[in-house]
Amino acid sequence: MRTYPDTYRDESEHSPPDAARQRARLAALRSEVQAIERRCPTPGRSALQGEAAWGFGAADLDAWIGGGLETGALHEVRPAAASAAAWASAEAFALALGRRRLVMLEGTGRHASAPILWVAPAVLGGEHGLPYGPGLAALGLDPARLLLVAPPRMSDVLWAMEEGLKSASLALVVGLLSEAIALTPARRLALAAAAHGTPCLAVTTPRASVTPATATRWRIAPSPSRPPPFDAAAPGAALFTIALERCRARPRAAEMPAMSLEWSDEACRFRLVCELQHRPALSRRAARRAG
Amino acid sequence: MLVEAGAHGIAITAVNAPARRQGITPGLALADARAAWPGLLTRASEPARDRAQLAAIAGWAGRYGPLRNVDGGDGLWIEATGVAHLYGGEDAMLADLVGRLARAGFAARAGIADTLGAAHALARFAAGSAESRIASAPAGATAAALAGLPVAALRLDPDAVLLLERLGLRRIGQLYDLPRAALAQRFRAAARGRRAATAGERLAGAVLARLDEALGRSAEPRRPLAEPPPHAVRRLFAEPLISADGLAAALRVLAGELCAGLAARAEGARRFELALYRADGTWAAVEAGTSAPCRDAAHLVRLLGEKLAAIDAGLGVDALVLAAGEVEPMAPAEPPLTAADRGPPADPSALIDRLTSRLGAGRVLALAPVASHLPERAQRLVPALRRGHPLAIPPPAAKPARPAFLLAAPEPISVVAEVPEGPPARFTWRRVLHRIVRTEGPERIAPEWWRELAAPAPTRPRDYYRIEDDCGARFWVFRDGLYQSEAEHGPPRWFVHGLYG
Repeated sequence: MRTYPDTYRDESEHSPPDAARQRARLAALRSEVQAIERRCPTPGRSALQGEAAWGFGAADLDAWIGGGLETGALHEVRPAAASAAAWASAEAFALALGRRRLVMLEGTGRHASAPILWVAPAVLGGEHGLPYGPGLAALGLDPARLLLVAPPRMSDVLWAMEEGLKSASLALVVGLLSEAIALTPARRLALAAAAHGTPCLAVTTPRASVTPATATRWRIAPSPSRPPPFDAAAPGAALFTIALERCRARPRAAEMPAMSLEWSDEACRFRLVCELQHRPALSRRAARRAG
Repeated sequence: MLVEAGAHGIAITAVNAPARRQGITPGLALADARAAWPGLLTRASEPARDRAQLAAIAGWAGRYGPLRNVDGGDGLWIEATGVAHLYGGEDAMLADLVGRLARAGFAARAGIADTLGAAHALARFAAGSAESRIASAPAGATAAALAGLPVAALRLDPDAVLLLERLGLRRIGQLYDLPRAALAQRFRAAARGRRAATAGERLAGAVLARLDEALGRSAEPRRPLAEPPPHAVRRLFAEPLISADGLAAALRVLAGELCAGLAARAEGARRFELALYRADGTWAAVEAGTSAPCRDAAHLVRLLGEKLAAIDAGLGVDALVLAAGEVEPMAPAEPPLTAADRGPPADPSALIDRLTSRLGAGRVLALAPVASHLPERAQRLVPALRRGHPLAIPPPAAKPARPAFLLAAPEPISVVAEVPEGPPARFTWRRVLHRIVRTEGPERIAPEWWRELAAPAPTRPRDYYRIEDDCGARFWVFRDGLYQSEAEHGPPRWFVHGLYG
């Protein structure tokens, strides 16, 4: 039974001239309740209550999007271009988010060994390659925690994603889609995610229209990496240029400019890379001359 | 009648009723028969087709019991323990069997008894009279039922039958009280020809063995057509089911019964098969497998129900058999203590079963590591249904880092690079030019020499490079072959094998 503060109880006995004030107060209460409902998962339905937020590990970015990504919602990740490299970058971003999700679930007991479902239609798997076990270990992800599904048709991809969400036994569902998702399937995915407390990431092609009913939408592009300390000419850790295009919980957050995130597999978190520290790539001859 | 060319000329192998009334029996030479009765119609016998037809009938006979097989060249045996009550008695079951075969166009005689030998004897020598085509021996009274049958009913060699007749033993009942050693001695005395003694002993042993088998004193091993499943439940329907709803409802009932039986024995099964026997003599089967031992009726109904919808009921299904295979012990699940533990378990087995059942086992995969240093062999995609328990400690990451995504096959690229061992400076892949800014490598991966011994063409060593282009895209490329050995193996070629994130 919700108890209101004393001020409200006293003024409810006043005469009708205060009706306007009461209406204003009711409207304020309603908007506050709506804001709370949007931010938190539905209490009692989510099997994973009381856990840490699913964030990036970069404190500024997590605070900007309101504490972290919603665990019971559909999120969309789009590569900036339709090239194989941009797709690989977006897929690796999804894998890194999956790793963050596994880290978040580690201490919660029953779901500590829940796998990640990776649904990729056969067409995309042939073009961009399937996840590779030894490479996942380099990202910090245990390949035994990945379940691959390669259905032949797009409708089967959406069905598999929905089945994964409804089973409530997974850490994350990632789906690669070569076509746009219509409104009804997108809402079904969002509702299934909210009802069972499992997040869903849809990686869609940039040529298709945006997916409705998503909580956040990201645009990912690869970015030249910072050289590792021991070898100036070698490629460094994965670096992404991310742009937040839509954020349902904090609409103002979508005005964020594009920023660079670096993934660290030892620390299992993203790091915001400041422009000052990021040196432009040296040519190979200059690097060799420098030693 | 059917004729077959044999060792002594063309002989008759089968006759129909009018011919039998005339006195023609199988085994007669065709020339003799034609001489006596000129107007005979003959056709060549086709034993292979007969055997195939008999095997098909044996398959159909699964509706009466899982253990069945062909018996000789012209019969079937079916183990019908515990099935007779479904038909309202043994005689009713035999009448049903003979009636169905008659509707399919086969004239059959059936016999039922405690042992295979006795049933064989009853079917061939007791049934078949004009009044009934069925003979049955009450349980425990096998000896009495067999006593009046001729000794040929015991499945003996013709030599043994001849010897017994010479000794005056024409009915099986006369063999009951005979002392065994006496029979062997009399056989030795009555047998003529070389090695009479040993032949006589052997025949006596065979006769006694068959008698013991028929009376149930010794066991007779027999091989069924298909290995019987450990647990099966069956249902017969008076009215054949045609509608999908009816089949689904029947499946629910059967699944509940089977799972209750498994739960009572604290077992779970990993393979389920539902066999549908239609009224016109054909049958179909649906199969489903699970990744973990299962005895949940709802899950089973969901797995089999999807495939059941694709089966055509034909003229109606009047028998359903649900069998469970690959049974493993499964501990009873404890109910959760606190509210926090209640809720769906974090076990994706049910999800894997559903995905596999709809998409096929080749499309739901798990990553299994393989101990090989060749990159394309270091990982195997196994069907998630058959994945074992994952290793507690994941294998260590290879240094230098492998790409997160590996292409199905290395794709050729055209490269501008320093010879002989320099990294690439520019490369073109899928008609896009990339300028390389950063490289790491080379990492030489030599072919597995133990496979090279039998390989038709030698595999060349590869030098792998991790490269990054000016946009920030990272690739894993390799050069296949060395410039030093260009003369013998051809020029080295460049490929891209994987993409980093």
